[in-house]
Amino acid sequence: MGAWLALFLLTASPSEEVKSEAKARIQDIEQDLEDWDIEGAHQELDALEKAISPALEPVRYLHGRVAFEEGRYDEAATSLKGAGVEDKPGSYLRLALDTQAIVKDYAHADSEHFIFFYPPGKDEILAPWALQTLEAQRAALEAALGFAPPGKVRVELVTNDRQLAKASTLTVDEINTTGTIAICKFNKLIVTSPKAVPHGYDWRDTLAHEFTHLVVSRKSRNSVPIWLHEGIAKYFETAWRGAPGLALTPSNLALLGQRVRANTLVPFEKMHPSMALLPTAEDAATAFAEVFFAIDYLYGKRGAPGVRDLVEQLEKGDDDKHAVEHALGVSFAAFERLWLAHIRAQPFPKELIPHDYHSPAALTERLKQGGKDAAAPKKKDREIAFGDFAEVAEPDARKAAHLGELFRERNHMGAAADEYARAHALVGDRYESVSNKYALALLELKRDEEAEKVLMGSLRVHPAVPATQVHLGRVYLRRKDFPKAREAFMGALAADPFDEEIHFSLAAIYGQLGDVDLKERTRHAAAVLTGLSPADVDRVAQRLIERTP
Amino acid sequence: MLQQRQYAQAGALFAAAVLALGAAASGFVGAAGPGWGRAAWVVFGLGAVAAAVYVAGVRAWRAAGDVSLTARWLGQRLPQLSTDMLAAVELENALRGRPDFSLELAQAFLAQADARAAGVDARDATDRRLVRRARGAFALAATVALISVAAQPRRWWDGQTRVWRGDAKTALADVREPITGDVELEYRYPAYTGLPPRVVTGTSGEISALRGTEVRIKTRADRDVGRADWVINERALPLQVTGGRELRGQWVLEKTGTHHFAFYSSRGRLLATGPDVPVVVQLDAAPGVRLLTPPDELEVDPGQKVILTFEASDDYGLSELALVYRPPRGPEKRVPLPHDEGRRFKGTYAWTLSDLPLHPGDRLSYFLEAKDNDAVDGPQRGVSRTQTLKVYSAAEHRRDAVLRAEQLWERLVTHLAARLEGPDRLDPLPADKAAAQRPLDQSGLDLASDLGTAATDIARQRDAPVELWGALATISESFGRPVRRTAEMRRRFTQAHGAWAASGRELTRAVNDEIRETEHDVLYLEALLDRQKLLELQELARQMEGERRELASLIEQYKKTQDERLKDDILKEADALKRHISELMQRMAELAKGIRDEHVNSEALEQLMRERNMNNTLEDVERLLREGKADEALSKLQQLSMEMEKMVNQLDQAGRQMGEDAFPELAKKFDAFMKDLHRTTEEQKANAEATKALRDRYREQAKTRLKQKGDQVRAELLKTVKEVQRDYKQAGTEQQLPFSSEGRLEQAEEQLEGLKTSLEAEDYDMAAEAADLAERTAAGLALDADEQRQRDEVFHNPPDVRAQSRRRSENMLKNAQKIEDVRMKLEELLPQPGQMVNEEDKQRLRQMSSQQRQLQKRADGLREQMDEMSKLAPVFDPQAARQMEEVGQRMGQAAQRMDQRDPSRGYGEQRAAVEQLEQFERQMSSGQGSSGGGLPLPMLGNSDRGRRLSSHEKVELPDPDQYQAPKEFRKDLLDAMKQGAPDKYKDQVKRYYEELVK
Repeated sequence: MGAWLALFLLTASPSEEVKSEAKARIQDIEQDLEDWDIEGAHQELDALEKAISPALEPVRYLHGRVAFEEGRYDEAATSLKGAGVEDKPGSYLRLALDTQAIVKDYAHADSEHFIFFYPPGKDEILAPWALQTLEAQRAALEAALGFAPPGKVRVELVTNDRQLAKASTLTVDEINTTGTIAICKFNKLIVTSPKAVPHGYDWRDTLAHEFTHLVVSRKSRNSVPIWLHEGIAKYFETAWRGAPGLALTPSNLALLGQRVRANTLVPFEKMHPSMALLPTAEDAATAFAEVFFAIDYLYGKRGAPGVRDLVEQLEKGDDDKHAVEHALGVSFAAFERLWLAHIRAQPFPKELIPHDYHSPAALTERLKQGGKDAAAPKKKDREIAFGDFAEVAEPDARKAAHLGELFRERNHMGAAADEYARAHALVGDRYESVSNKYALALLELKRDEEAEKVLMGSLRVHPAVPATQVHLGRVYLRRKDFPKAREAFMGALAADPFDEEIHFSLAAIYGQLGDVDLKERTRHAAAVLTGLSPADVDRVAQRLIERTP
Repeated sequence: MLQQRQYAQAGALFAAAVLALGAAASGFVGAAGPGWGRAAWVVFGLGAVAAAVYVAGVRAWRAAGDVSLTARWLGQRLPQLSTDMLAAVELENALRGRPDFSLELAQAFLAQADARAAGVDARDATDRRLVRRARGAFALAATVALISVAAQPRRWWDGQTRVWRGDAKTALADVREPITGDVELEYRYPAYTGLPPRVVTGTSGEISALRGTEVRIKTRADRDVGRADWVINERALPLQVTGGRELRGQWVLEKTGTHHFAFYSSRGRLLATGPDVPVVVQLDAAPGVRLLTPPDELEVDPGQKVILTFEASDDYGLSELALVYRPPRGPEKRVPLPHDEGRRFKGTYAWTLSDLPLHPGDRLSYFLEAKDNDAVDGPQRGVSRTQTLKVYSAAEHRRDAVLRAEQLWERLVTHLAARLEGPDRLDPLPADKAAAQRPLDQSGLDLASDLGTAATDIARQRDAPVELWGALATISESFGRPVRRTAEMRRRFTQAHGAWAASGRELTRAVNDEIRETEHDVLYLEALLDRQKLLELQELARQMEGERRELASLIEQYKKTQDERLKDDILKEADALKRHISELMQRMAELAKGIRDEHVNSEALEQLMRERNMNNTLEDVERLLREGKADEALSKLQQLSMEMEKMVNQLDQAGRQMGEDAFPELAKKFDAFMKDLHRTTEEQKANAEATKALRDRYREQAKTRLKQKGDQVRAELLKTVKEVQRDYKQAGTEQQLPFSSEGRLEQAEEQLEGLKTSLEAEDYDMAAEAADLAERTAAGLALDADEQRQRDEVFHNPPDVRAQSRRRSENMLKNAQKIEDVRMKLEELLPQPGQMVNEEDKQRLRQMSSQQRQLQKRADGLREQMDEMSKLAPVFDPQAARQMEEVGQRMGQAAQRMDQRDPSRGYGEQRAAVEQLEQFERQMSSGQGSSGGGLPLPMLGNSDRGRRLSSHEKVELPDPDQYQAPKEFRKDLLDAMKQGAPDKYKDQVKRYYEELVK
């Protein structure tokens, strides 16, 4: 920006007073933008435009920047072009043009504090749930950190990794390597549609996670270092569903345990500038678990005020170590010891559990396969898939599961259950694929109680796997235990909202529970996803209820 | 009344006149068309009626309709009556009322009028002119009618006939009698038929010949005629009349119809018409052509020669014969075939396919076309049935084999599921439920048998995937064995009526064993099927790459020549490539879908998704070519090539990893086994070499001694051997031995031949070995013959049969004794083991024996490793296991020979062990294919199994022209020549060649 300023001062010939005012305002605007204080930047810009000609290139440039941050992409592109910005990769002009191209035909849905932009079509069904999640997270964070961003926060949905790359300035390779699925940048949340990933991902937690980043960035004026940033976001990403600190899965825990034992934890300083730049997905997963427990320790000691103090201290300009010391009242070295002891005290699973369903590595793998709009593996008859067992490392168990799948494919459920039982006996709940297929065979044989036991076991190790939740939901629905069924299907919805079965089932459940609004919401979603009329959706839902045990 | 009659008469005459005209006119009009004739009749008929009505009705009424009018008309016609008649009539009418005049006076007047009228002649009162006019009109009309009919009576008659009988032939013909006799026809056929003229006498005149035939007729009229016509199909041809009666004429046949004769007087009056006689024009039949060989759907190699044998025939001769075929790409083509111009031709044609751009799997349809020499209507065409040549495609054959194996695999899966879901594993096991499972045992046994049959069938096919039929063969055994045991256990259990619980547990154990074994079989066969599909995917990918290269080469050419026509060709080629790639991609997608392997499936799908870009790239290539940007098009193709290469590499890698992922434990064991096997072979080789060195040292010494002693007995031994040989030969010719002994007899003959050759070559060492083998075989034959003798006795077969089998048995026993005698004499001839060995070598032999025993243990270890692997998957068939056992036995025998200080025999055993190990190793390595590592493929104990199986195939006798030896056979011979002879035969082979060059 220095060049712009020099140019301005050379070419324009205002009075010295005006010059110095303009200079100061330009610097303020840049600082505000840097600090994610868009409102401040806007005010300064208004003042600047009154002080000097808005047609001047630096003013137009800043106008373009502010317009872009506020989501006025057309205006931003025009201003940036007027400012002589080149249309080349990485430039703000290219970014504005690309973003505009992506969102130009988007529809949007508003809540009190959010505006959710989505492409017309099936993504429409996400809007009410997304807004509900964000509002709940906003309320939780406001209570915890004492801050909520003013105005309406923009949330933009992109449909694939290429769009995410264009809107975020990350490269597709970076996205695929790190399994990045959403980002908080340019004063907004950019989120990939769960449709882009077979069987979805934990998109509601992700929305909450990214919004936490936005809150922390804005509250701290972008002064929180990455490890604390990620720690707070990871810790609070579950706040929307009742409580923070629920995000770590047994798989993460098992990995962390292994790294602790091997003494190969990732140092905080290596997490800078981005977790995504760590050498391996496993390192990234370990780093997330480490920072989660850093905040967990702080939260455990001082609760939400401790976290608020930490952020405020950083906002005041303290470095991370001092801020931590201030928040905890111990030296940073002591904090590190205490934190490590806290980690060591965790109940680590004895053996390594296969990667988490929603881990970056798993997401990367599934992203490569393409989503529901691509050649996605749709829900097949009886959900036959042999590739699911590729993760099973034990050959005997894998063979037994494979045989089970062969029999299930041929409708020999008794034989299938026999083989799955053998596989399950060998590997326990380690693989959700084995558990789910076993449960499916048991469900076909009407051995619901056994199926429930297997599924519950799997959920303990692999929480939030949508297939497990759906299968569990089937068990409860068959039993007419509607509250439990709702819980299961809502769990599935938080990951795989494009599975029509979830919406049919929820429509049926809400109908039974008398929740008219949610029944209507899920009924509408089922209609959008399947193309059925609402009356037909009702019939399907009714059939789900009536299905005899 | 008289007047009225005259009007009626006139009316009738007028009507008759009209009818006469009508009769004449309708005849002529009817000749043109019966409808017209009928219309004429109607018109004239109506005219006649009208004339009659008018004259006899209207005119008569007007003239004499009532009494007053008549009276007035009489008054006018007869002046003497004047008006009195009218007055009298009116007065009479008045008297019927109430007259106011004098009745007497009136009656008197009336009496007077009556008296006056009575004196008048009525004929004087009538007008006769009308009648006269009517008569004149009638006479005129009748004359006109008669004249016109007389002028053309036949036409008139035909017309009338057609009017009354419709369009059918005139009744005249039906009734016409023959008017000629002694008809003689001479046919002069068209020149192209080559037929000589033919005279037919005593015929009724029916004509039947080919179109274009000249027909000459000679006949005699039944009356004198002025002239005569020969009317053929309504066309009259004048005949030559001689002597008033002899008639001659000629005519060229054109179409089928009728002919008749018509006679006329010298003044041209028709005298008589003869009956219509048929004229039949025979058609020149199209030529017939028939392909005798090859059969339809013959499978050929792209460069092969196909011998066509065919026959063609035509009623009058062939003018052209051609082979017409349609290549897979491009228009129909013709090859003229040599033929003679006769009526029947049988020939052959060697059709070389090397000039055609054929690819594996292509189909080429063809037929023969023959044309005759019809010069009248033009050549007629005849074709043979259309047949197809199928270009041999190894891929298609493999696909069929995979399909068949897959069907069996499906049955295996179903069987396994039925076992798992069945009641056999219940404890306690109810007897009735166990008994109900018998059909499942039977279907399992059937399946095992079908697996074996399929292995045999697939093995017979050319390019059959060895691992597939090998796996089917091993699985047939590994699956069949436990199923048989299950069936046996069930039999025992059900016979014990379930009372014996232990037998139920035995059955359950057997079923559990069967389940475990079948699980291995299912998974292993599935992995092999997946592997086959993966190989096919690789092949398809390579095929696509090959086609891409062809396109690139065309573009290169275009770049150099800038020829626009070439550009069109390239665009067509690109389009074809695009289509083919789409087909291949579809096939690949199907294949990938069928692969169940956990690790390969996703990779394959990923590849196929990438494939989508290939067609986009090809579209870009097409576009760039249209724009004339050859360089850019080439660069795009290069990009495509890289994509393809990547895909091929990934598929290769997937193939290599397949087994490691699916059967890691097995892959590991297999790897270790291969290493141990190789090490054992190498060590055994080294041992054998050391023994050989020792043996060779003593050999020369022994040779001199043997020669001296051997010369004394050689002739005698040879004589004995030849005698036995003769006897065996005779037994074989006369089929004196049971069918089951045929193989043994053959073996004995071979061994005796070897014995004889060794004796002739004075190689007593080798002769002793051959005698040893022959002795055992001869003993077996003697045993067979004795068993047969016993059977004949037991079954009380006819005395002559019994006598014969007795004689045979005695003969065979004698032969066995003779060979034993030869063997013993040869043994005596040879120095006793250790006789010539010094102390140092004795020590050396002891060491070698110890080493040999170590190796034997190693072989036993290998055998155990094989057992362990077999528990994981049916990799080895029982024969392979026996083969390894034999290796161990050989090694043990070698050690024994060393102990006996017999390096010569020891070396023989060692060599045999080395050969078997090497063969084993070869089989194992070749079975694994070029991919190396990966899934351990099935190993059969005898690599010649496929060929052995195929020796029982039906052999199609080749055509005399098909003299070329099959390519594979020639290749086998060459390969065999390259391999050289086994060590122990090297000397003999050397001598054989020395004999040859003498």
